[in-house]
Amino acid sequence: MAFQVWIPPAAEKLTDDLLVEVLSRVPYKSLCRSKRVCRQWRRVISDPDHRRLLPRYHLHDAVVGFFDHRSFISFSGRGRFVGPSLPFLPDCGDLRLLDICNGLLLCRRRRLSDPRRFDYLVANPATEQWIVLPESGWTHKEQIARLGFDPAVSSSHFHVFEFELVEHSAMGMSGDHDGNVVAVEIYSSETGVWIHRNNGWGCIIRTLDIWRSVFFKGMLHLITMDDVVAVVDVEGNSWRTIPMPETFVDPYYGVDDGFIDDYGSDQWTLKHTVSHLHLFGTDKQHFGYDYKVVSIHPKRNIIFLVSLNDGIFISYEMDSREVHYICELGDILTRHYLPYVPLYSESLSNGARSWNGQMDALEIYSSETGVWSHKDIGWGHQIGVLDDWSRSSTGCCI
Amino acid sequence: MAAAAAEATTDGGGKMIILISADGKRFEVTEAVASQSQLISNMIEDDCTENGVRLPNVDGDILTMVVDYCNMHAGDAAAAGDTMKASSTEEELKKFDAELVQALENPVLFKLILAANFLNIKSLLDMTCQRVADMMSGKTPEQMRETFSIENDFTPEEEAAIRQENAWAFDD
Repeated sequence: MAFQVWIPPAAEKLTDDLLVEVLSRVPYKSLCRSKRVCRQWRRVISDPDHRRLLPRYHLHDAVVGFFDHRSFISFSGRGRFVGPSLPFLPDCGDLRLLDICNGLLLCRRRRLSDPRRFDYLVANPATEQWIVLPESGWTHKEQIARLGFDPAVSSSHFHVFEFELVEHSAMGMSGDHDGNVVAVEIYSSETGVWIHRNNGWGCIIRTLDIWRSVFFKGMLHLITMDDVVAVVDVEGNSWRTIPMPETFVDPYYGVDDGFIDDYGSDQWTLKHTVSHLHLFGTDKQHFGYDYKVVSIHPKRNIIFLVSLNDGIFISYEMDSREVHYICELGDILTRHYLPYVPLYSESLSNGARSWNGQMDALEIYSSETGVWSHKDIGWGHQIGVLDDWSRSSTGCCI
Repeated sequence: MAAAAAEATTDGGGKMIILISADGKRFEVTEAVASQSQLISNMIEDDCTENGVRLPNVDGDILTMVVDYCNMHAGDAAAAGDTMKASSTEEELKKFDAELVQALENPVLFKLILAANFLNIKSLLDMTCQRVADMMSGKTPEQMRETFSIENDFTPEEEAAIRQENAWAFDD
């Protein structure tokens, strides 16, 4: 008889839980608009507990798609599709995606006014917000750059790491290098400035642009050619190396939550073993050639893999040992996959202001922090760029 | 004894139970139909449906829709063994579902969501929530309020602040 005593609230008004059920099915733009409907809706949408529920359910909240350098592939029928070249960005010629970290994208964008130079741009495709970073000092030379952003630590600040590599020959812009890192420039969105640090690892660290990094516990973890994972913090003060496990494990696994049991002691623990036969139905698989690991969801013990031979994206759940087909990749098969999970947060960076669109960012950087003092990012240059961007919605705000 | 009798007839879905709406309307349905509600399914399992199931927060009009829906959808479970029948049923069901939700406007739609949630009928909840989401798509906040009869309880300043915060979302 216990079931008959509960009486829910009066009809016509959806409870918070049900409102979340509805809102989780709404495209992102409509979701933002919905915040203006009434107080209850605003509260439900803004509630940090609900944000996690709102993006996606099940597998899709672990990875909703991935970018290669030029396009985005979404796994979910629901929600928005971010098309090639991030359509919310103004037309800006050559744009190259460098890294993704917890929903934010780091891109390199050639300047329209001077294609030999580029700027770093950090964008959130879910909210269609973006900012351009001040110069790092290497605007003419492509370095390896990585993004560090952890909404659990700070929902409003990110860091960009730019690794300065030793050149083999003095050929200027296109000089060859062997990935030997001599120094790192670290940008903090909190301070709005880049800091320079010489290699503090105490050994030669060589890395490649095609290798992913992992940002974890406020530290950037780099895969290297030197049998270690090289770690540096956002201040450039703490440097360490973690020896790679003796058996070959994809660097990917390295620093994701579940795989180093005792993070402080450098001990690797073999957490799980699965055969190629179980994953792909055949033993003839070579890691990195026939398949790639795209991402790991440590809390849910799910690994996302791409089978390059079959052209499909699959997930493997370690707890249940189940393999799930997620989607066909069609003709967009590449070898570079940056997993993407949307971040539905509007209050990033220096308070909400700098993420209200490019214009505010410029104001802040130029007038408040004073770090835009370089001549070539002075207002003259910015205004020139703004003219190019005038078609964008944010550009029209001013 | 009573439990044994209930179990004996549940397999065939033959045993009838009575659902009673807030306004006292009575609906006689088979256990198979009613069991699509997880709430009622649990009650059947606990053997407490003997004297009818009172649903004090579901109006007769809404319960009529819910019962229609469950009657329609009880078919797929029963016909699962028969592939020919199952496929034709599937098409019919799609049509039925589409017609059901398309016809709904607020406040009936919200009431149906609340009922589906209370009775714990996941497919009906999914379908009705999706319908609301579809109705929101492409609408301005003003149109959403109108569509769902929601009162604007913001001050003009608050509203302006939200508008500012997500300015890009309000451009068309």
